[in-house]
Amino acid sequence: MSLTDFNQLPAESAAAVAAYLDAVREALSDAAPALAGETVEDVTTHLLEALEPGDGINVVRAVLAELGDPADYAEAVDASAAIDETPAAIDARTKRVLGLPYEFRVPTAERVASRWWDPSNPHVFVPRVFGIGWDLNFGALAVRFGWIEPDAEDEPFASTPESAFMACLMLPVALFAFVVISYAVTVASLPTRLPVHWNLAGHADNWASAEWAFMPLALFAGLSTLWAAYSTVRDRPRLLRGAVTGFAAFLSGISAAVWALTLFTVAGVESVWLPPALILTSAFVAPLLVLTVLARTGRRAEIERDLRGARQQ
Amino acid sequence: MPSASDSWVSQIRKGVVEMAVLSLLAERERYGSEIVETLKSHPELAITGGTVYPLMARLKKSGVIDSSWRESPVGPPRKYYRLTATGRAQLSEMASAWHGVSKTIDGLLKGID
Repeated sequence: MSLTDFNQLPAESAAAVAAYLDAVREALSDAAPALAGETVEDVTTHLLEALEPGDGINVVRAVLAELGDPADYAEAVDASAAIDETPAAIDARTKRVLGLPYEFRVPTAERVASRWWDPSNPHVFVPRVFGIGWDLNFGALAVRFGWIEPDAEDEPFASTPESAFMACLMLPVALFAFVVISYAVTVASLPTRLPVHWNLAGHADNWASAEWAFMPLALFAGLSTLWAAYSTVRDRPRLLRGAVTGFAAFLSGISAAVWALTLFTVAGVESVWLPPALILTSAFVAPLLVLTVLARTGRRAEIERDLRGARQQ
Repeated sequence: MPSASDSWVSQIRKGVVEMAVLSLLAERERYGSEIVETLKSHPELAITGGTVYPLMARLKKSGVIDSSWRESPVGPPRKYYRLTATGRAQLSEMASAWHGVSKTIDGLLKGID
């Protein structure tokens, strides 16, 4: 004899069941909706079968105790789902609108960082940690280019020496310096209106005053570089520092590319391929370079540690 | 009904990947791409690098396996994985559970193609 509805239980028992299901749902709020729904359904079915009409609170408590703590239960379900990295499983965990993946829960910085650099995941395009669309997994790119093994580092950048972090920080610093110094040097000879936008043919189609052309680029490059420097000084978690440095290289790279484009146009150099080549190169190559250097130096440090350990034995 | 049985098969595979990896390492220590290639040679397991590497990271974190870089006779150094004592104990538990279940199911399936 089983239940068809929890209303067949006395009020106190029904409330205990409802509270348990709520706790499971709550504990799974971070999991994919499909997984959470399925799990709550499984627990519900189990309880309907295990209980009988009129079961008192003590019977209900015993049945619930057998299922265990709702948080542990949810964690076990989530962990078994986390192993499944097949495209279909990732797909099932991802929320979509009009076919585009989306996520609007504010992510932790660590989660963002682990999406951008995850060499163990072969997918180059990963669903955004925040917003609509995809992020680029630079780790998968580096693996495809043969620059690093998917399992080269135990923890990303954990063994990377400080000197490598400092060296990588120099890339956004250099790009920022290029923008500021080249502005300072050329500002006297620049026209009052500077190109700030280019059409698909590579011709400038919008202009602004020299200050307005320069300031936003300097701000993007400067603030992101400052953030990277700050996370280095404050000794934030390794993966986070790498990601922030990569992000600073990305923004400084774009700023430097747009500024270089401005100077090229002023000098009379225009071409169809120049805007996309400059911007794509700096936007993708700069962060890829930073993250790969951090991983390669971390890998080398791990190798040296292990080989030295083996020789001593 | 391909969808229902497909998801059942993928559930089974998901459950046994870990045991498959641990048994490979029980034999001898191996490096990452060697594990992937060996598992790939068993198409019925349908395992890819994308499944194995995150699993290795998880197993290492939980102390079931350990890894270290070693000189390779050919080419650059490689990261070799091996079972820890915990891993050996876990594998033997898994194996006895698996043998028990599979023996029973084989018995129940007798006569079914």
